[in-house]
Amino acid sequence: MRHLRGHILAGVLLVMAAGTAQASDVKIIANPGLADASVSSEDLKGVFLATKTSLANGSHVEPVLLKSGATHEAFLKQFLGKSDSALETYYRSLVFTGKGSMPKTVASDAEMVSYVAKTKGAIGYVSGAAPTEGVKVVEVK
Amino acid sequence: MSKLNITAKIWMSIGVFVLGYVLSTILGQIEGVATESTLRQTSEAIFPAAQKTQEAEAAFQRVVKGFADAVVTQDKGGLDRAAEDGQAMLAALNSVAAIPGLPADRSEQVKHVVQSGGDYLTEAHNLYGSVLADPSSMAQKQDQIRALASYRRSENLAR
Repeated sequence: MRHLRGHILAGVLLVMAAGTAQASDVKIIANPGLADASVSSEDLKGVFLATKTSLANGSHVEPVLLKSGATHEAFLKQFLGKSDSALETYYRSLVFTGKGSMPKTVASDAEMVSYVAKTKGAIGYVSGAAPTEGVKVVEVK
Repeated sequence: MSKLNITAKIWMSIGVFVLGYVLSTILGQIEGVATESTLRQTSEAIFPAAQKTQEAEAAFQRVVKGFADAVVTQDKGGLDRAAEDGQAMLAALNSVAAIPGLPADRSEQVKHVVQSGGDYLTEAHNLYGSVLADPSSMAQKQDQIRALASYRRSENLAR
């Protein structure tokens, strides 16, 4: 019985560790022109849910999303608290009511880095292992 | 005037009173007829028009709901429901325009709404239908979708 409890505890810890590892595997990146090296999680959520078009310091920002993948799912879960389908429905609703636009989406980390590097105000995310040359890695507080 | 005797003065006073009474009665009658005419127009034209307009507006709200279901939740049945409700809206508006006794300018306004509402239904059905058929095309068509949203806000059926 003790062994069983130990295994269950170890399993739970492993799952929690995996979740943490997945969450930390997402890096928020921005165009190097962004003044701040960090953003608040509220600002980040507001930008990606199209309720904000600028950060607290007044910098105009444009969200860029990955089309799919583990990094995309992890980002949505950790920072937006929505599933991919819920976010899709949310954006469709914004477009239908004329209150917003569909965000720019890219297919891969490389494309994300390339787009964010050359687009003023662009803010996106990549996996933790992705190279981030030409963009600024932003800390989320 | 000072040469008139007291009897003539009394008769003249009575005459003025009677004349005033008659004039007042005639004016009252004319006003009554006008009020009756207004009430008749209200009961026979304006009240039914208001009721039908409310029906049309409710149908329009259902149309928007149907299109929203089709676009936002990808519910194909939403398009069909919107089309049915759209026909109900146009039928209600046409019946408003056909009400006898409705002021001509109001009737013209309703005909204008029928025309623009019909155009909206056709355009929206085609556009949302194409988005429903190919969801990935939404980003390319969002300007047209936004234009339709703007139309919905600007067009007021109750005007």
